[in-house]
Amino acid sequence: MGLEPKWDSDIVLLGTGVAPLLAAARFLSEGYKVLILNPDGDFFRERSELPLDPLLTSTGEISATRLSRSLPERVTEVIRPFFPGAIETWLGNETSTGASGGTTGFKDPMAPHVRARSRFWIDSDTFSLRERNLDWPRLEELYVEASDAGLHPQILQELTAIRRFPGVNRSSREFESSYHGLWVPRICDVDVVRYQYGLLEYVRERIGGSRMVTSASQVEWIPEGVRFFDQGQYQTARISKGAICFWTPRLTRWIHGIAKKLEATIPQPGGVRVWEDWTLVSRDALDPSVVGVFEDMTVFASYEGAPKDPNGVHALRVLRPGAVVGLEQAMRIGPEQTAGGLESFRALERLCGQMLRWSAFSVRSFEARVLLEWDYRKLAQPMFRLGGELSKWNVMGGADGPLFEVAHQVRKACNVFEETLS
Amino acid sequence: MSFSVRDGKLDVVVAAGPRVQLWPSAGIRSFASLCAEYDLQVGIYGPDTLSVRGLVPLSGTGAVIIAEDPQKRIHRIHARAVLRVAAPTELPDPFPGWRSQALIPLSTARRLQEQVDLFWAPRTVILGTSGQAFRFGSDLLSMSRATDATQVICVETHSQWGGKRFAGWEVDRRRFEMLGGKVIEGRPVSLSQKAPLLWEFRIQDAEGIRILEVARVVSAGPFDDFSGIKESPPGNLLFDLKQTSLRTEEEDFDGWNLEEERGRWLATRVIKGLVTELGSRKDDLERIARRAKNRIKRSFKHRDFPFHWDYQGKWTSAATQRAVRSFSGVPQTAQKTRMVASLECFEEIGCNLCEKVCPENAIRWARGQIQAADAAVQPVLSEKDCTGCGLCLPACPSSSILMIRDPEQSTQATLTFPWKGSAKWKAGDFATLVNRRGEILGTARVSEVQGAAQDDVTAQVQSGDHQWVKVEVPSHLAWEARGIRRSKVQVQASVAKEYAETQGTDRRRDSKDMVEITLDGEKRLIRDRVPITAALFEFGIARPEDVLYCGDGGCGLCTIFVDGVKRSACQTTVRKGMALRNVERVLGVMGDAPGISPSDNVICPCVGVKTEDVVERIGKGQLGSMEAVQALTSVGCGKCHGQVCTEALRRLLERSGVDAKGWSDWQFPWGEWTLAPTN
Repeated sequence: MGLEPKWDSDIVLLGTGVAPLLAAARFLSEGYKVLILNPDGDFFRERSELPLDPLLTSTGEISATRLSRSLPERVTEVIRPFFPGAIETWLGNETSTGASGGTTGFKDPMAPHVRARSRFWIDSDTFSLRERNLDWPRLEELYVEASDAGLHPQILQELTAIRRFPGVNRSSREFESSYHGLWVPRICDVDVVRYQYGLLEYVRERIGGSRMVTSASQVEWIPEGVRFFDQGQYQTARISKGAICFWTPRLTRWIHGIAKKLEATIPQPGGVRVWEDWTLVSRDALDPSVVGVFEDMTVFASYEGAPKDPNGVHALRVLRPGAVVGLEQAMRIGPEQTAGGLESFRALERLCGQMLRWSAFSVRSFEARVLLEWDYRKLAQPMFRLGGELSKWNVMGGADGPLFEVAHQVRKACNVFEETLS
Repeated sequence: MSFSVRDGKLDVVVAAGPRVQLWPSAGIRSFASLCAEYDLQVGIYGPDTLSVRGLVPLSGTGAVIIAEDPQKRIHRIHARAVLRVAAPTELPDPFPGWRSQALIPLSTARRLQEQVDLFWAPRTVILGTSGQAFRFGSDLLSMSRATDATQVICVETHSQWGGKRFAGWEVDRRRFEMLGGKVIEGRPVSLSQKAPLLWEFRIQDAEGIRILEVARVVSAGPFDDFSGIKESPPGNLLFDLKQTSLRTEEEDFDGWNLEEERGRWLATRVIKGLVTELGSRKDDLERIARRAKNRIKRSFKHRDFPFHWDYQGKWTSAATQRAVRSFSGVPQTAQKTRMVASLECFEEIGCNLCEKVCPENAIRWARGQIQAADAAVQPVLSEKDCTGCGLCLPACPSSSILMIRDPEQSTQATLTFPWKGSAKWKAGDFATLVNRRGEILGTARVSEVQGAAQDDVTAQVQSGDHQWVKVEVPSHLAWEARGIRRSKVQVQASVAKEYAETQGTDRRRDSKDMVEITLDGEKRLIRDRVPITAALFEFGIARPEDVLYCGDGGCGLCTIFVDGVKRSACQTTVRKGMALRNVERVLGVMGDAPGISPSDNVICPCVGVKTEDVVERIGKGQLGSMEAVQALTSVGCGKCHGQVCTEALRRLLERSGVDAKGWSDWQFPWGEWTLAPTN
């Protein structure tokens, strides 16, 4: 089998989600010849990138610094350099009820968006935020920190508090508990799919469809490059600068296999967490400008772009974190097995019954999204090497999670990579 | 108050998908029994046990099934392999007006036909030319009242391939045409309302745009040639099986056979995947798999060896005539002296109902003569044993058997036809004779009409519904005339007579079955004690969301306020004085989404996505999977959960070069799922 010069590249990027596209956009802008390999049939099957930061990890704490990272300006600053086209913004102050007029600022409805939506933690004497390691005193501390950081938080009490929560049955008069909440405006979310699509279109146009290989199977790292199976035969690509593999949940088993083969010790994520992504149908129109936090669930109106439906938005999305499963166990049993259990339904019941005051609820959709739990404090560098004869290969952790965090991580990794080249 | 969730574990789960009809169907039985023989634990969950809400695929193989029992408890079952059985909606590719109430799937049409008195006149168009389409068309033609004078047209929308047909297609088409049905090739262009219960349907055919005034368009399909089995993604042991046994075994024999063999073959796949130590039983399993595969192939063999009727004008050619006369089911000499059956069922089909009802064992199914020796199993008539009792005539679902007496020295022959129509014949009537294509050959006098020969058989075929109509025909028509029809003059006379009897009043609205209700503030008369959906259709006031008419409330689309309470229209029966109010559109209920007009070519009516937008996205982004297209366009993410648009989207993607053939939509739940905590 001879080498195929057409595959030879400066940099090879291997991954299944948005991360290799981000890195490709960066390296292309610097004039490198890039080859992208995706073992999946498409870049849209990974589904481990989140539109917003649910502000919950097993190790991280909510702080004003972390909140500041989700400000629209900061997020745009991170994701903008990678993206070739327009990114639309919606600051949510056009209307608070999702009525018409909310499209201000949206010139291209097909462009990805960055939207500012207030984050609202609610607490009461009948339920609490303890699952998030939060209690009311900690929220009050956070209020002070956020005020100092210029985030303009507010404390809301009683009916003022409960009525701002998305999806609450406003006709219900049975709010016997005592409520209080912390309101932080302008914490943003990003349209992952359109961002990824725009990036994909751009990168494909730049490098050509033939250098973006999907369904690449039997990918094998070799000292001089990479060997893979495509279009019915083995192909070999020589690498002159290096290669990066983006560790996402779909590649976990494969990366572990290689590490085991090389007897290399690699940094491990804290485990695997299944995020349950529920969409419920709300009877009342939802306030699109608020993302509520009830217990450990993140609750918000689901829509694309700016709300333009005159009848209002009715799809209520609930992001609920499942338990963290050890990596070994997750690879053995399939982590999705833990989703949709008794705890999930009880949590939904508490949300819909106690909080939203719905007598029943309809499930429109449910998806189990698997994310790795990286402890960034332990992961000193965004990338690590497997060592041995595969010195050109790097593995980047943290290629899943909130989109802007992925972009941030990719930027750091690219910087490190280029430093090593120089 | 809380939910109760029970966890379980099984090797294999068979789950009823959306719109499943007969349960458990033929394929499930063969699949489950074979799996059980190999010591696999099988759970069968359908409408009568646990209602499966959906499944969560696991990253390796298998899935977690989430189901609900009648006590509203939730069951979570971890299955190593899953077989979902579902009946496709069979809706056409989108065109302007396709989501109006005038276009209904065949399953909805069947339900409505059983429950209410629908208008099918002046014309009903059936999209698709499957055996099911022809059977429904034939039923419409034979069961319609004489006053209707309904014209039924089947439109072949994909003439470039013939792969959609099961065996037996030829006889179904023959029966349809003999009853007066027409088959044309064309592509739907638009459907727009002209008047209440009257629509203008435009079809593009080879000669240009054809404009038809129709009462209804029934979508029967199939509109593609996809296999009935899918494993998506490959290797994860999650299978989709298309339900082909949609009616009773007698009415849909080929569909039953096909599904049964597919179920058996799938079971062999699952067993090989799950049972590690097959030992000596491996050879048995291979044999079963081979046999099932051969039988499945045989169901489509007629594509390679179709029976071609060659005509010269209205008359069959000499070569075709020779082939017919030498066919194993056709008598060679006995018809010269007495009445004897002629079984003109030339394609290989699985049905052997005539063999079962023959009391003399004069009919058996064996290797035939027309096709190659390795192929056809066809009826063989033992002339000496046939007594001419005629029991086989009504038994044949496709009316491809008749009785014939053709004396050599006489200028007259006698033919006896089975008649299933609601307008009955009597001796002395004049009948129009038609050939196998439904072309008129002449007229003949009905010499004798009989009911069933034996009481028990009469009961089997719904007593009184069938007639044996004996006609005298000129000898030269004995092998050409294969059907009878009432003449137009007779139909017109019948219309006039009935009009005089009813003094011009509309029979339906005078019926004692009518009750007054209030619909959106207006008083209306509708039929009592039928599901609201059916009553709305009968009077042409159905909504776009009613067209799926699942019949079990599973899809949750047809919700309507009944006396202020939200209910499923398909599950609530009409009663006097009820007040109905249309539910406001809540997050896309198949009505017009914002910014969408009826003339738009909308592929996903719930979300309001236009076909051209999807095409543009696929073209620009070179998208390679259904997931990508769905993520970008949100097609199939509305309230109907893709039941209306997913198949059309798949066809669109296939045409755009995206490999979506083997893709299954496992999105959870499969239909809107309403949960209420129990005590």
